[in-house]
Amino acid sequence: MSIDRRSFLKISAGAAALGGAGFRPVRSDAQDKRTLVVAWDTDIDTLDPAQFKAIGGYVTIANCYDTPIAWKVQPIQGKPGFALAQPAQWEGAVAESWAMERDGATVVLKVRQGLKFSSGRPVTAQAVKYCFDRGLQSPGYMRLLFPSLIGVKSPEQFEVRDEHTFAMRMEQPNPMAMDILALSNNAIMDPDEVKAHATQGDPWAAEWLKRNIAGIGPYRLVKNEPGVEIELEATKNYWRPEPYFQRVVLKFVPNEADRVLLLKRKAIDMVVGRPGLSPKNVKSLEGEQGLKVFNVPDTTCHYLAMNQQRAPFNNVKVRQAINYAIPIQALMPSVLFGYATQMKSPLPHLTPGYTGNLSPYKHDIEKARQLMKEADVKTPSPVKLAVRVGYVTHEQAAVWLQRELEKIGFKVEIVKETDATFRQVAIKGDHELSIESWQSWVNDPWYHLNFLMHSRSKFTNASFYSNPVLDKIIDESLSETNPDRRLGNARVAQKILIDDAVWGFLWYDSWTRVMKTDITGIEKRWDTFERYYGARRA
Amino acid sequence: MGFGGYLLRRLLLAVPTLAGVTVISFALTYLLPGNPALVKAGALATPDVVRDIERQMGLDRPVHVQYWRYVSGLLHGDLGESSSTGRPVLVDFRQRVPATLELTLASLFVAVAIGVPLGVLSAVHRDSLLDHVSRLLGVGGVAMPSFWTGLLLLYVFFYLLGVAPPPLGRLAADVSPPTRLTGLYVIDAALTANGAALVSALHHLMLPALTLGFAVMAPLTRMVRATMLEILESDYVKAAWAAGLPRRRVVYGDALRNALIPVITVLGVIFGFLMAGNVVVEMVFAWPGLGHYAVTSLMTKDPGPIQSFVLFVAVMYVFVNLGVDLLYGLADPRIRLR
Repeated sequence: MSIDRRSFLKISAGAAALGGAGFRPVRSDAQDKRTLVVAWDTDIDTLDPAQFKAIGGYVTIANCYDTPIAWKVQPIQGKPGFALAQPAQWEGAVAESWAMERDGATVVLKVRQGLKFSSGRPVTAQAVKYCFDRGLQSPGYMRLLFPSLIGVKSPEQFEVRDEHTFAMRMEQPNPMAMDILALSNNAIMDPDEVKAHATQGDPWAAEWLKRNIAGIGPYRLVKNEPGVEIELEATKNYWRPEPYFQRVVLKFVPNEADRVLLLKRKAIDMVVGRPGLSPKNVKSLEGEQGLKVFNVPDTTCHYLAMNQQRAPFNNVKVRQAINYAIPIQALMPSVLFGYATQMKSPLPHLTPGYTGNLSPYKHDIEKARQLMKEADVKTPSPVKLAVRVGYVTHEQAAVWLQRELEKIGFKVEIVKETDATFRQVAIKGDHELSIESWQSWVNDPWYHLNFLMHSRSKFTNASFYSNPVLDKIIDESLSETNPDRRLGNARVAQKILIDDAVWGFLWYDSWTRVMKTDITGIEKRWDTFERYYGARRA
Repeated sequence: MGFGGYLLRRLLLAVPTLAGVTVISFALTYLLPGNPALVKAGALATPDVVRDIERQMGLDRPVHVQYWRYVSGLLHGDLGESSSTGRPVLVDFRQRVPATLELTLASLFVAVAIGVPLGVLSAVHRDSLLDHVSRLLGVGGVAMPSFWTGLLLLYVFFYLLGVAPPPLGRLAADVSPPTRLTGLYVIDAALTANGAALVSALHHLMLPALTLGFAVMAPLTRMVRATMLEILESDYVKAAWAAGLPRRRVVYGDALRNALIPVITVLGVIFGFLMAGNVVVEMVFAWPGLGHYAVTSLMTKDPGPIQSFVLFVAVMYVFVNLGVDLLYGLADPRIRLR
């Protein structure tokens, strides 16, 4: 039977109605030049500088709050438009200068004259003290970092000398002090504003600060719609010259394929996040007309944690065998597309003290088999390899590892776990093998090793490595001020850890950002999160 | 018993169902592996910090105390807080439910507007080219994963042709949302005569609604076709033909109306399915609905949002089923509501 006229008309009308809406020209991308549009996939979890966990929280805080001092960035040779933080280089922010007393055991900060909070109240040394007191006493990161790393345990150690002079007295000199002062957690906020929102049960106004910003910084948060967008607006009468971008819009785009399409279509300026784009997609955008890729080595470590509380991973020969079985020369091009560096030490390769020539490990299945034989492991040895859902490079690397480990006598089952499950299982010591990642905000060997290798770091020492000799070296070196000894000890520690094959050494990420060619002034600091103050459109 | 009584009885019957659902949704988050306090504590967590957070979240209390806390919170309108957005779950839901509802209704509209006529035509012109094409479309809709259809549509209409908006939510960047009445942008814009918002909202709704509508159209078309075929063979339709009633009245008046009852059931099921299950399409179009929110919460085992989501879906099904039953009465006068 054929289609009669009436049905034909109906179908056509229906189709036209549906299609009609589509064929309307889209407004061109001619956005305001002074607006930066960025895509990412994170929300603000909290705006409390002591407590944020999500990238959305961190980036918003880093752009809306100034810290006492900041990591200084320098242009990179051969990469115009980009800048990078350098080890042991800082610049004044809320504090215009700093000085050391008692051989570096006291840091004195001179608060910049004439700074005002948005309320009009002046920024004083009292305000700085209030923020440090809060960090030390309210729940969050600083309560952990101050006492354990730089020996600041009581608010009395924060001292107001006069209206514009603040001093922090540590128990002894500590080379990490400046880096710790530069963390965004030390955001300077208006004490009167915060106190006004404190309650009996919440003396530090953590509840109010979750959703409000009470500080001084280049941008202010004007819109926070989770799952849609965050909008930052340049602060009026900011103490530094106004930023080029008057508005920064961070669009929530959960699907990576969309982020790629948006870039290709130039509907956004840049993709950020960790990682905003997988290595494969970054590669595909290299050379794309109108886009550029910024790519520098970074300190994020990816490693195979081997639970040393469990057989056979309590046997150093097995751990060494696994290191010889890691197909790093295949992972580099096939999983990481070159945006990574081979890990040759538990320390990041950009960290002072890093020694890259201690590791004997390379892909050598014969050697690995030999070591397995010496270890006398009954094969096939069944083992579970845990990875987090959504960590694309980990999921892919796991498949490569599975194949190689099976060659040396393991029977590997890959287990994918959600974040919550992964962490719980890891902490209970129920992972056998797992792919972990870590990025140290403070670029210091002892900050790094203290969290990852010290036997007291229960929740972050994912391999459950326990070595009293190393513990002692870490304890002694945390506050070692003699640079030769500090870095010399780092070499000793690396030797111990590499000989002990503490991890399966995988790779360090590169920090990559893909953006329109006219965007410049992109800066990478040690915490990897961007500040948009220096960004411009050429 | 009148209509009011019927409604009241149905609503009362829903109470034990919902009470049961609270137990299930609570048990679900309680028994699932993973510790939300660990996620909340962050990378540098120590055992002390995690214990503090557990105490704060009440996770250290016995299970019946935790359940009671949850239920009493619920009765006071406190659904807990989301650890990914830092806001009360109720606020998040207020923003996201209308987004999901708008997309669901629009895709249902697409599915009905194409699916029902297609089913009728396929039945009337059985084994014709149109029938085959409709079957092909149906199979395609079911077989093609919607993230793929969505990406394909985006690729063609956004990237290549540039006629669709970028997948950046519900409105263009330079259009502000209409005054909130229902939270459904299309309806709010229409009611407040906000032309710019209406155009932008429809424009942004177009591709996701097509993607989702296409995915659920198939069962609808099949159902309409099958029922129509049966009915067209029935005695009363034959009698109507014999009596010389106009073709249009027989097909669309008598036959279609009788074919609608199972269709309404299917529509109810599809509606529920769309409200609770369009995670993928929401992800592909960065549609700020419930789907992605629920998934994120599951990954971090965030109890407030998960429990609220399960409860929301349950409540919705109760009302959808009620709505379906009421519609039966309209479609078939023989059905009495009792």
